Amino acid sequence: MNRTLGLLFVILILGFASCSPVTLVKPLEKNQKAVTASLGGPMIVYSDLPIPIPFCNAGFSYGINSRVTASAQLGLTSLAFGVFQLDPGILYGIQMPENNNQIGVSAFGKTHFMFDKWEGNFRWYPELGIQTYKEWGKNLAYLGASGWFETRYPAEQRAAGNVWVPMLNFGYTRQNTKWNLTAEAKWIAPNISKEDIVVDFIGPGTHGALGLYFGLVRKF
Amino acid sequence: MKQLSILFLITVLTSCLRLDSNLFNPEEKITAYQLDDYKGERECPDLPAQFHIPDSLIYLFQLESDNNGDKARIWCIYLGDKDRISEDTVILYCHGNKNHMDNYWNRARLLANVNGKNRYGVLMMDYRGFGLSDGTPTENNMYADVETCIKWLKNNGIRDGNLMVYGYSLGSAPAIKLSVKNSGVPISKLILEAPYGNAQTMVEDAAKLSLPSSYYTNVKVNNAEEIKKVTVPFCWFHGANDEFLSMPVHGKKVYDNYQGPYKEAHIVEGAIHNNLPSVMGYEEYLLNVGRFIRQ
Repeated sequence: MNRTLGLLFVILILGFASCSPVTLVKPLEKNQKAVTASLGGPMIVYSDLPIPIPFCNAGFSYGINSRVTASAQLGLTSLAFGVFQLDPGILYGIQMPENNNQIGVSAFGKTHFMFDKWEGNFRWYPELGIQTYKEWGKNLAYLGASGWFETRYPAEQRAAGNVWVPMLNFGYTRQNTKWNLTAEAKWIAPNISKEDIVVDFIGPGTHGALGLYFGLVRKF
Repeated sequence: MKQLSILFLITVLTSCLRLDSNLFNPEEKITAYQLDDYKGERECPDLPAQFHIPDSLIYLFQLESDNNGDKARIWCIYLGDKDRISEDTVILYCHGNKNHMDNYWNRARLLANVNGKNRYGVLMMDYRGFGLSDGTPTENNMYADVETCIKWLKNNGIRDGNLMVYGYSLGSAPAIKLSVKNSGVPISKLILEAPYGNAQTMVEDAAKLSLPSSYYTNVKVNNAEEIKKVTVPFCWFHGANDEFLSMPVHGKKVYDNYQGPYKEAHIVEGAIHNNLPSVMGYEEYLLNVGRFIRQ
């Protein structure tokens, strides 16, 4: 009956949804710049159709050196709802592959800052992640894990009692000289039940949601 | 850069997308109420014929609802003898967020038969934007619409002590609100079925993080807090398997926070959000509602 109540009540559920794709898993070259854009989100059932929540982000990245890339992303969908969301972060190359036979490993740390114009509510959530990737030719495939961390304590002040929201992801990037195109799938919050809530998230079993994302990188 | 900053500022200041409208799902558009003849999805679809309401006890009418100058025509149905409201006990039924009175017609029929054949009057309405009612559904409009119905009952002579309010799901918000606020006729007893705690709980329950509801909606419904002000007896029904508004997350919070003189709970195993009376059994359901109203 009221299954549709939320329906889109949650179209902007950032906890599940603002987890933007990892558009960069391999650090940029020193002093290299890139503009990034991404679209996608968790899959939900909307009007009986499975769709990804259309979150849109835009960002900028800069190679501080060959191992460290700084970036910041702005949530455009959030902005349309009067929520300013900025996600600055650092990507660090732990293991830089010297040839195509080696696997690269990188780690990132981000903080998701949010602030709404309606009531001035501010939230921030750190995110940590690690990615492994393999290149062949112009192709790059990656596999990783990350997690958002709750910052509101004590738990009694929150309805959601989760300390962290983990994610597992894998993706594919087509790398050109100037452009990268990425498609990524995520299993969001595999430790958290998606039953008995106002949104019909799609995902395997009773826990977590499946997310689909597409990313675009323009390097300078 | 300056132009970019201005563009950004304009975007922030003019952004106005909210999810409020998604709280209300009138969905199906109709041209007339069909009641017994309605073929679409409805509550209590297998209601036995014994709960039939004769045409002479069905009064379909319109009221003008006024929310601080924002006026709209809303449609209502009264089940019972309109000319005997001054002698009757009346249940004011506030329906859920989906569709219109045709969907809830069987529920109204059921309630009219609490404690005996066509024993109680039942009044329900389509909030603005629902069914054939004009206007836009908003939280405050919904309160105004229900309050308008209470005033109609007062104008038709209902006596103090004879008005019960029953709120289902979304309808729990006006039911609680108007149990606290005296709109001309005091509410004697409050019955809630599958109430929700508050907008914040709903957001966090779905987000899994402590995101504030203000990021998505202007709706301020906070039943879990508002119930603390209720001083009339309270009866709570909830499906133990409610897949939409989880019983322990939403309903129990409302129930636990009630601080009035009397409360009772009916958790129905196997029932989900929209089938509680049939899972509980219609007779058993009527027995429980009836006992609560009589005592």
